[in-house]
Amino acid sequence: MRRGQALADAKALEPSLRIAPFAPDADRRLLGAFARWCGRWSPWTAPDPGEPGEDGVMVDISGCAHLFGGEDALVTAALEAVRGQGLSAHAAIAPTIGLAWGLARFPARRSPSGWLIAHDAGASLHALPVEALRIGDTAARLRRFGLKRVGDIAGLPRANLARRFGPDLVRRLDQARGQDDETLNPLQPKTPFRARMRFADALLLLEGIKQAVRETAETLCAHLETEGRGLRRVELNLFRVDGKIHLLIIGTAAPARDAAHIARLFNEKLDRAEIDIGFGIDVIELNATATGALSGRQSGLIGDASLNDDRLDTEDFARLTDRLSVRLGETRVKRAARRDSHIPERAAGWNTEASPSGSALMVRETGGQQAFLLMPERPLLILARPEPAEAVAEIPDGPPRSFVWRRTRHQVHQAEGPERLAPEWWRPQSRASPKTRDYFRIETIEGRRFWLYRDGLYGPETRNPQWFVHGAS
Amino acid sequence: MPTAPRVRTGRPQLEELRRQIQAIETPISSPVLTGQDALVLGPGLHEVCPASYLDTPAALAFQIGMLGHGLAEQDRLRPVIWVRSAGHRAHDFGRPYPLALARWGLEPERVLLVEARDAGDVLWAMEEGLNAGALVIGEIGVSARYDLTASRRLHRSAQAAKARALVLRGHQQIQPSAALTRWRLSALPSPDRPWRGATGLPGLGAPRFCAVLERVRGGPPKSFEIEWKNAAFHVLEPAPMARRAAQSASQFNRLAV
Repeated sequence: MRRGQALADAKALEPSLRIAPFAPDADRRLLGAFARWCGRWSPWTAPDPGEPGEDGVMVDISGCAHLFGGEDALVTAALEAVRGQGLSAHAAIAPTIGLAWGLARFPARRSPSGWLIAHDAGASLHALPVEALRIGDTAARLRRFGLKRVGDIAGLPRANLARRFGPDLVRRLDQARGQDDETLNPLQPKTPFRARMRFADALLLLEGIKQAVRETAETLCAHLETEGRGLRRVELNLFRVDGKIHLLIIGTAAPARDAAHIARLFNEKLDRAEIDIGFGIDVIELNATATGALSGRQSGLIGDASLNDDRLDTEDFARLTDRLSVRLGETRVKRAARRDSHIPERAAGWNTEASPSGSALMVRETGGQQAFLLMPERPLLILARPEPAEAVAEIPDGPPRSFVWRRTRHQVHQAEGPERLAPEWWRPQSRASPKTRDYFRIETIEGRRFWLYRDGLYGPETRNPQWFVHGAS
Repeated sequence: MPTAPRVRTGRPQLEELRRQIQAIETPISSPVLTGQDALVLGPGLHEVCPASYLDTPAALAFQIGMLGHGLAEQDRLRPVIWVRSAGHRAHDFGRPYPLALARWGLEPERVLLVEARDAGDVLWAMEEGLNAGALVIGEIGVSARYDLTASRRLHRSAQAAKARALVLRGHQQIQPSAALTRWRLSALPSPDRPWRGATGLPGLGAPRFCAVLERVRGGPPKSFEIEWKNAAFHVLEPAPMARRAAQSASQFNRLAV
């Protein structure tokens, strides 16, 4: 069987042949993933796609080999790990990329261990076939002249080689010898949205930095607009001339793509961060670490924003949230959230935008107001932790006649209840297992309203029920 | 020929000048309106003090009820910033409960709760909210930072945005401020429900408050007994005023229950 054979012929030769369609994109993705996986040997790795069956990964192990016990140990361990994944592989270690490429593809295949180390770079290079120089079809032309090994062409005059076979051959030869530069273009962690600006003269004034941030944000937002996304979290890196980096981070309440808004948030941060500019800032970089979908907006037909109330509302709301949370801290600006629970302190509360799982921010819904009015009445203010009260009740199951809370005695004038809330039995019970609560809405003779509950049913759950104040008004 | 365009451009300029003069001359409308026997506050800064420490929840209920009532339709969707200072635990009756806000005319999804570090941040957040056109509730409590200057700034911002800012102050506060009104709030016993529960106590009627208008710009102090009913504060016993005679007896009876 050979490459380029018709499928019918191949199947005739070997009926049990497994067939898969050629998927170059999938191969490239796999190679990229494999190159990232190779990051365990060195942080500088790059995929090196080639002909089918000739793909490779380049790893720059300068300064890394000793961590694995030397080059021998490193390459052995690496090959073992790769073969453990079911791949066939060969490896070579050499001082230049070109030499390593050739060694891994030609002599390493024949070596018993499957790997080679070029201890003598010159000799290793001269022994390689000319195909190992990464010159494509030129290699076949060289062979026609009887030049089969790299050593055959190494001594020939460069000017003649370049004239007959093109400048590429000479460049590749120099790269393999280490006489010409070749650098690895390493894989980097995926940060899809990034904008940076360099300055010939370092910025020394805060005003200049602000203006630069504004312009960089415009570049970033233009990029985001083509992708239909908005910023959720942005990092601002200020690179100082002497190598120090200042990092500022902002988050937004809703995906934002307005450069002026982003710039204003950073201005607020810049004003308060008291950055030591030192000898100046020469690079500014904006990095979108989190983005969200943001489709294009259509302005109102009439052009009067106040007519589109809902839209105005949400957008302004998000911006106001951003400004407040940038200055005061993200944990201090909260919105109403509710959970799927009937225990009052769990059912609703206040959460930051990035809310923990299990609770959802309340959103406007049609008929929402009506739904609230149908619910049992709740106090306006609720204590974070119910506070014990000494209460006197006429009958064990009834509301209290009077109670002492925070060292003040309150006489009960009106009462409604009980509203009986049983604990959520489907939750794993804690040490002090919760009891059934009987809630009463009461009003004192002064007209003050409280929300009390008796913890535990009298009889089956407790003999000495305790009263708690849970809310007011 | 040169005069003709001047005349044409002069007209809009005159209009513009007239509008500016009108804006300056706008008569200070009463900060408190009692139209339709419901209390409505004008745009600007208003202060509410509880009559005693235990009346703080009543004062907050009054603030929330007054915040959104009587607004134009498009202003009802304005966000509400509720600014509290995280410090005073002892003076605290707890956080507002989202599920209860709707009953006081405030949709919880419009509310942004800001728990500021100190009094300076409270004032900053309030002003920022007002500048963005939001309605603002600020629990200032006892703070030396809230003085004539600070309150004047808030009032200006609120008037520019045609929004209401309601400030909750401590119950012993007597320092001057630039607010339009100062209310002193205490709870009143609500009317008994006609039925009694199994335990012999009557049910709770509509919440009632005694709202004393201690200070009002351009008007005498007044006292109102008000009741929260049908999503508005209704005046129970109107203080002696011009409108009282016009009010029909039947309406009055209905209000007084």
